[in-house]
Parts: sequence; C-alpha cells; structure tokens
Amino acid sequence: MSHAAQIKSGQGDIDLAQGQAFAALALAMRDLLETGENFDTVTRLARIESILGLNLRAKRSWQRALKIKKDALAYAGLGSVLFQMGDAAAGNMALNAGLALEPENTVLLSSLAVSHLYLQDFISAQRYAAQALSVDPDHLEATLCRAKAELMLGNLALASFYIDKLLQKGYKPKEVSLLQVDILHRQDQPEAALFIAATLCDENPNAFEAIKGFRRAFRTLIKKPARYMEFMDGLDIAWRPARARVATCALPADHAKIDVIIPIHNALNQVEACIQTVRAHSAERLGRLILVNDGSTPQTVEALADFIGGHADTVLVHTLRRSGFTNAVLRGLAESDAPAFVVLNSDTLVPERWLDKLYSALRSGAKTAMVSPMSNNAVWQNYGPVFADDVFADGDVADGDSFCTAPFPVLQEHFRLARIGAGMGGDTLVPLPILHGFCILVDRSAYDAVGGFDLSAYPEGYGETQDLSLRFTKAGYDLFVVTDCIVYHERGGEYLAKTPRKLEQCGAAKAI
Amino acid sequence: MGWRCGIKSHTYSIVVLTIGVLGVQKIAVVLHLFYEEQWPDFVAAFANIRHTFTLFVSLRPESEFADQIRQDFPAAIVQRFPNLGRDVAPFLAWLPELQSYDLVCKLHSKRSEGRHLVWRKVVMDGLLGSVEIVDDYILAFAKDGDIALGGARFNYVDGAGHVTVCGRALRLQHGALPKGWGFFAGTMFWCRPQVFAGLEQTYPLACFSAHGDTDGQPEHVVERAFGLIVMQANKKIMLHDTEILVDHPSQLYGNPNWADTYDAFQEGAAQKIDDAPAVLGAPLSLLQLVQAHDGYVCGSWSGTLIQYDQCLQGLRHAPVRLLQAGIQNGGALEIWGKYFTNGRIILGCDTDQRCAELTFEDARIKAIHADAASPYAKTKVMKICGQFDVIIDNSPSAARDSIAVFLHYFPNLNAGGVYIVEGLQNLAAPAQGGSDDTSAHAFFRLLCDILQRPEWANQPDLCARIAPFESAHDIDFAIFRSVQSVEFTPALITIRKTAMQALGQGSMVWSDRKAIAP
Repeated sequence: MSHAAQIKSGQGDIDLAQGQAFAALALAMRDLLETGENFDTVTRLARIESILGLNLRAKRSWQRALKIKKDALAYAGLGSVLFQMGDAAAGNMALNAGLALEPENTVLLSSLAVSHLYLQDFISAQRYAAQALSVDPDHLEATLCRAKAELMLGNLALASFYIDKLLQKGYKPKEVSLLQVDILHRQDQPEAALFIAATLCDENPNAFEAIKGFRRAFRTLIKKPARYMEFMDGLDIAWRPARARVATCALPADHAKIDVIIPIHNALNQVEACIQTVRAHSAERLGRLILVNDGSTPQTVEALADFIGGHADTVLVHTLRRSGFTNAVLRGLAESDAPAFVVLNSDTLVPERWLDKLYSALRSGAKTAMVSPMSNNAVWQNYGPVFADDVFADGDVADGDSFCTAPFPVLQEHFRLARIGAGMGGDTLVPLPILHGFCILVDRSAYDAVGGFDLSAYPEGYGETQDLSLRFTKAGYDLFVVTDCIVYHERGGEYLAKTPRKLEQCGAAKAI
Repeated sequence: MGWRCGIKSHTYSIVVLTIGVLGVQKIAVVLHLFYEEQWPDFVAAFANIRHTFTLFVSLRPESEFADQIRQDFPAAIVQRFPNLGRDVAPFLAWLPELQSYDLVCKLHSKRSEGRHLVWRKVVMDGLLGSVEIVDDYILAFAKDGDIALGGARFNYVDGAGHVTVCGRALRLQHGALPKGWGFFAGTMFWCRPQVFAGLEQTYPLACFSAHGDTDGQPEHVVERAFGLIVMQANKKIMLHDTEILVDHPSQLYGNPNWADTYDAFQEGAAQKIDDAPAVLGAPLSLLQLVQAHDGYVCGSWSGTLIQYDQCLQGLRHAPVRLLQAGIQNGGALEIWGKYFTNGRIILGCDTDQRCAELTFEDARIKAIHADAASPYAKTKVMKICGQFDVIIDNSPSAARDSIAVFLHYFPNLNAGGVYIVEGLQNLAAPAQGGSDDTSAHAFFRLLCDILQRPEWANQPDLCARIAPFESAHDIDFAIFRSVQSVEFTPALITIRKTAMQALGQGSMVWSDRKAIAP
C-alpha cells in the first residue's frame, strides 16, 4: 500500500491511537515527500508535529501551510504552537488572523479565550468564551474558559453555574475540581474546599496546584478558630493545647553523649557558623561532631580539615562523591555508636543548651523516638506565622500559599532571640505526626527498629525525615516539637543542585 | 543492588581471563563520521580496544571516504546515509544487524567548533581513553548481564532536569517519565543492543528531517529515550569516572546542570583554523564556458558571469559540492559541471516540477523538484548531500524566501565555502506586507554590521535589528558567528564562511619592542 493510500485509510490516526506517534509522523513525512507539498500533506504533518510537541517543526509546517492557503484551522494550529512556545502575543495574532477568516470558529474563539486567561486579561477571555458559547452552547473548552474567567472576575454565581455544567459532563475533572476548590474557598466554605483539595492531592501527588489549593483553604480555615477546631475534631486528628505534653522531666541523669551529624556540601561560611554554635552551646552533652563532606570543593575540604584541628571530638568523613543528603547522613551514622544522634543541616545556628533541651524531651516518655526544635524557617515548626503573604509586582498583598520564612540572624541577634524564646515558658512538647528534618534528635534503638532512613526512595533527602516520621508513628512511637528550643535555619544554603521545590515534589510523590 | 569498583588496576590478561570465564563478548563499534577530518582521532582511540571488534561507519551521502577507512580497517562495514537524523538515524538503521553483538560502542564526530571539539575529546576519553578504560566496560558488561548502558560519568545527565522540549514526545511514545531517569548527553556510550531492539520501528527513518535545530527534533527525543528505555526495562547503567559505578538509574545521580559542563568546554576549546583552499589556475572563464555551451539552455548577463568567476576562483579546481536553488532549464548545472572539473556533486533544486524530468549525461549532476525555502526541500537535499562548498540562491521570488533559504542552507556550507545570492533587483523589494527593514537586502546588510562589531550579541541595538526578522524566521545566532565576509557586487551578494573560532579579534601581536609612545 502506498503511503498516500495508508494516509487515506487512516493509518496515521491508528498509529497515533496505538501510541506509535513517530510512526504516524514518518508516514505523514513520507506522504509529503512522495505526494508533494500541498495543503493537506503539510497540515497533516503539522498536526502530528503539534501533538508530539515538536513545536519548532510544527511552527514551520503551519507557516508553510498558511503560505499555500490562508485557512482558519491552520491559523489555529500556528497560534496554539506559538502560544506553547511562550510567544503569546504572536499566538494571539495568528488566532485573530484565523478569526478574521471565520468569525464564528469555536476552536479559534476558545483558543483566544485560553490565551487571554494566560495573559490575565480576564475580560477578553470572558468575551471570547461567551462568543464561542453563543455559537455552540455545549462547547466544553469554551465553558471551562468561561468558568475560569467568571471566577477571576468575581462572578461566583456564574462561575458555579459553568462549573456544575462541566462536572455534569465529566469534562477535565481534575482541572474543574481545582476550580471548585477555588470557588468554595472564595464562598467561605474552606472545609469543603479542603476535602476536594485533599482528594486531588492524593490522586495527583505531583500536582503542585492541588497542594497550593489545599494550603489556601487551610490558611483560611485556621483563621476561624471555632470552625477549625470543629473541623479537625470531626477528623479526629486535631490536637489541642490540653493534649500536648508538658516537659516536666528533669534533665536525665544518664550523662549520655549525643553525636551530631552534619552533612556538608560547600556553603563554607554557613558551615563555619553552624559548627561554631554547636561547639559553643552543646556543653557536656555532645559526644562526637561528625562532619560529612559530600562532594564539596577542594577549598571547602581543606577548610573542614582545619576545623578539626585541636578538637578530638570532631570527625571528618567523606562520601565518594556528591551523593545526596540521605546518603551523607548514613555515611555519618556509620561512625556513630551513641544512644541518640542529631542530624543537623549545615545552614543552622543552635542556641545555648539546645542539646540538653532536646535530649530531655527525647527521654520524656518511653515511646518517644524523635524530637525537633522550633525555627524561623522550618515550615510547620515555625514560630510566628506559618504561611507567608504573596506580594504581587504592583505591591498588592494577598493570602499566599507559601510557607513563611524569617531572615537568618547575625549571631548576636540569634542568641538574644533564643534567650527570649527560652524564657517564654515554652516548655511544651507538641506531638506531631511528621517532623521537619532540618534538626532532629533521634533515639538510635527506635531508629534501628523501624529500619532507618530509606536511601533508595530518598537518596537526595527532601522527604527522608517525613518518611521516617510516618514509620515511627505507624510503629506506635511519639514525635514531638520542643517549643522552648529555637534553632535558626537559613534553608537552601546547601544541596542546591536541584531546586528544593523540585526535590520536595519528588519526595512528596515517593511518600504518597 | 549496585556495585562499585574503586580500583582499576586490573591488567589486560586478567580482563581477558575474566571475560574468558564469563563468556566471549562479541563487540561492535558504530561510528557516524560526518566530519571525515576527525578520522585519525578515532583510529587512535580504536587502538585501545584490544579485543576483536566489528567496525560500522556511516558517512555523508556524498562521501568518498570509504576507501580511506578500509585502508585502516579492511573489514569495516561502511555505508553512506542521507544527512538526516544526525548520528541517531544511522545507528537505528544498523540496530537490527547489531542484535548479534553483546556489546556496542556508539560514537560520532562532532563539528569542528571549539567547545564541540573539547566535548568530543573528553567523551571519547571516557569511552575509549585507554586500554584499561575499554577493558573496564568490557569486563563490567560481561560480569553483569543487567548493564544496558555505560559511559563517562560527567556526561550522564539528570533526565527530569534535561527533558526540555522533548518531554511531550517522550511521554507519548514511551509513557509516563519515571523518577530518577537519566541519559548520556550527546548519545555516545557503550550499550547492550538487545535492550533497544525494535527502536528503529518506533522511530522510522522517515520521521527525521533536515534542520539546523539544537533540540526538539526526533533525534533529540531518541537521545533521551536510550536512558529512559534502560530504566523502564529495569536494567542498570554503568558510569565511568575515577571509579566505576553500576546501578539502576533510580540510584544514580545524573549531572543536574549540563549547561555548566557544556559551557566549561568553551574554556578549553582548541584553536583550529582551516587551511585556505588551494588556488589553482583556471583555463576557461565562466563566460567562455557559457558561450560554448550546447546543452540545456542557460542564459545570464555577461557581467554576472564575470562576477561569479571572480568569487569562485579559489574553488575552481577543488572537489566542490554545489547546490543551486533555481535552475530554470538545467543548463546552469551543466555549466557548473564543466566549470568545476573536479567537482563531486552538482545539485539543483527548483519549484518547476518539470525540472525533475531533466536528465544529465554528467553523473555528478542531479536536479530535484522542491521549493528551496521549504523545510521539506532540505530533507530531500540532505538525502543526496550533507554539506556543500558552494551554494547559489538564484531564485529569489520574494525577499522572505531568500532569507529562509540562507538560514536553511548556510549551516550546511563547509568552512571555506561560498554562499551566493543572485537577483538583487528582486531582493530590494520590501517583504510582503512588511517594510524595508525586513527585506533580504536589509538582512544581508545586517550581516555586515554584525561582522564589524565584536561581541555583537550583547549589543541591544543589533539584537533589536535582528528582532524583526525573527518574527518570520527561526534564527540561530550561531550562524552569524561563522560568517567570514559579506561582499556586494552589482549582481551578487557573496557570503563566505569560516570556522567559528577563526573569527574575532584574536590576541594582540607586537612586531618589536621599540616604542616612543607608552
């Protein structure tokens, strides 16, 4: 069968449907070269190139098709490709050129609506979507655009109407559910929004938009204490101050020594400050300070070697190459035989008596496996506000979906704040199912009992402590945040090869 | 579980003994030799393979280099391929034949531009740099049947961070992209070919087209697919460095920022300036040849012919490969055949479909029916010849087309080659629907400005001047860096090309030490 005949018999579409996208591309290419360049052969090729995301090729093909014949759908194809390539203005021009040929073309109208939503021109998006729906009231993509535009313009009733319509049709359910989260949040129904967002997060662990939706709804709910407590009680996962344990235990008299493991990848200034505070503030509780060089530069390695000078309690070990946070921790742990150990990020500053406070908390109950301090920059273990405000380019401030961070203090300021924190009567241990990994004190026997850090799932960190926390909780152990101990954390000073966001997403996906 | 081998002191005899115990390895080396001048480097590297191997070499479609290869490796399997899909398409074409081999080393030449020369050298060193390195691969593959891919550690990159514009195509063809996958940047590696069996059907040769893109083409998708397939098959990858690391991809750590590694090659870029082509005497002028011609019709102004003669003198007796867009009745091709007596290929391309019916006595002459400005025409051209020494655009029907033809084919002009545009009176017309600023004349004048300004790319005014052309064309700025000169004569615009590193100010050269001014 000739390639032209194969095309006519729909072989290309069959290949596409069977996942043989490049076979379909090859067929279209052969047909073009053998049959010759005409509008049909070129647009067929352009369509497959567009589907494959070979945008540069698709752009050339659509342009070539338009040179042969001015056609509305070819303009739609070109506009779509340009848009995907990030040239929204050129994409809009192409779509409008198509619209000039066919003013009632719903593909072009809905594409223009999408484009204007992206450009945050919600009024134009609303107009194009409305035009498309006036031609075809059942056009689902236009309905989705209309719902989004109405939502962004604050027309909640209209947005709800279109969202209900989409839900009935089952069109793009995940995207529509995200809209539902947004609209419920705006309609002061954060509880319902939380439920839908949680379901989306469960089903799509890599979808950051779902996590953002969840955070937005949670932030709103937490500002309404009565509703928040009622909601959390309903889930039976809330804690109340009354449920927290007061750390009444005296300093254990066992004189146990604790090893502190610090994985290091460059960031020498932070490392130096961190080691300085550990040495100054750990008193007799410190066993060995185990520095793990994880593929740092020769200059850093040289400086680390200098840090050891005169300190018999400090050990410097090396991984074979930069191998990630978890691997570095495990390398350090191999050097430790202490009954409990601390894993400490190298971009931290520890306060006076920090080890005693953490160790007291660890020994406050027989089933306590891991404790962690408060911080300026440890997400849910932050003192003060947990969530940050989003500041827009125009200076407008809105409820954000990011965690709050506070600046890294100079040493003197750090000591002053830590003393204030310690004197605030914050001797409470807050039970949590998951602790932040920037600074943890872990009981070694409990650690070994649950199998320790999972190197295979979290070689680079960003999830290893959460995973360990969940396994501790599942095994019946208690985890606590120690509120009268504040460890400062700069965050992001090390292991920057991949962005923390990317690693967090990767870690979240593995955890779920 | 993965394994490491920190000590690489095993000798050849130990390796042979070990491999002997583990079973005989049938080895193939697959080389895509687009840049034939790099052949001696590969011959030197092959000396480090102290085991019997079969050599497969793919060449450009017009290449006559096979004899040279067979002189060095009489049993080599040498084949000419269309200049499509770069090194990937020839490898896929050979994949069925490679299924009978236990181990395959895939290599290719890279363009003679500073950083690419360095990149090729360090990758080659990582694959074939010494007898010990080669034996490391052979022994590892013999010892562990799960290893499917191996290469230099620095060249193994994190897949998620480098999927770029190929992500959608990869997902469509291979399903969801798993966490922790990686691939060897540049597609040079040792591999077990059975893991990739059938890949030539997944990516048929016809899906490759001619282009000058550095990403977003099927060969770039396949480059990534090699690593992805290994992960999906639950096989292992071997990374070679100061130690050997073998593990499943999810346990390996791919280079997270390849761009930095790639940029670093620039610093060590070797300087290589091509020798100027030899200038020999020319007995008959072009004008005389046209006057004496009795084949297909050929007509031109005498002044134009004289100008052609002047700008092509240096190549007159070279084994040139010539491409002409716009051939009218085909007579011009016959004239070029006579003019370039040592010419290897005279290829014409025209929008008039009757040109495909032209027949020529001179076997070096071919004509195809295509609009040279079309991307598909280049695909046709590249099936016949991958690189040219002379390119003539004699069909400027619209200003926009001349720019498109230049951007399509100038990357395929050899260093030392000449690109000629004829038909100034047409080119002076403004672009359709545009202003004078986007005329072809303006474009070629812009080339002059670029030549005269060092570090032009950082100058906002020049970038602003290029911008109007970018709306209609995909402009790879690298093109401008290899323009040696632009010459305007009454009938022609001549653009000469040189190797990129030959351009620029270079370093200050002093003639003596005496000076009266400081």
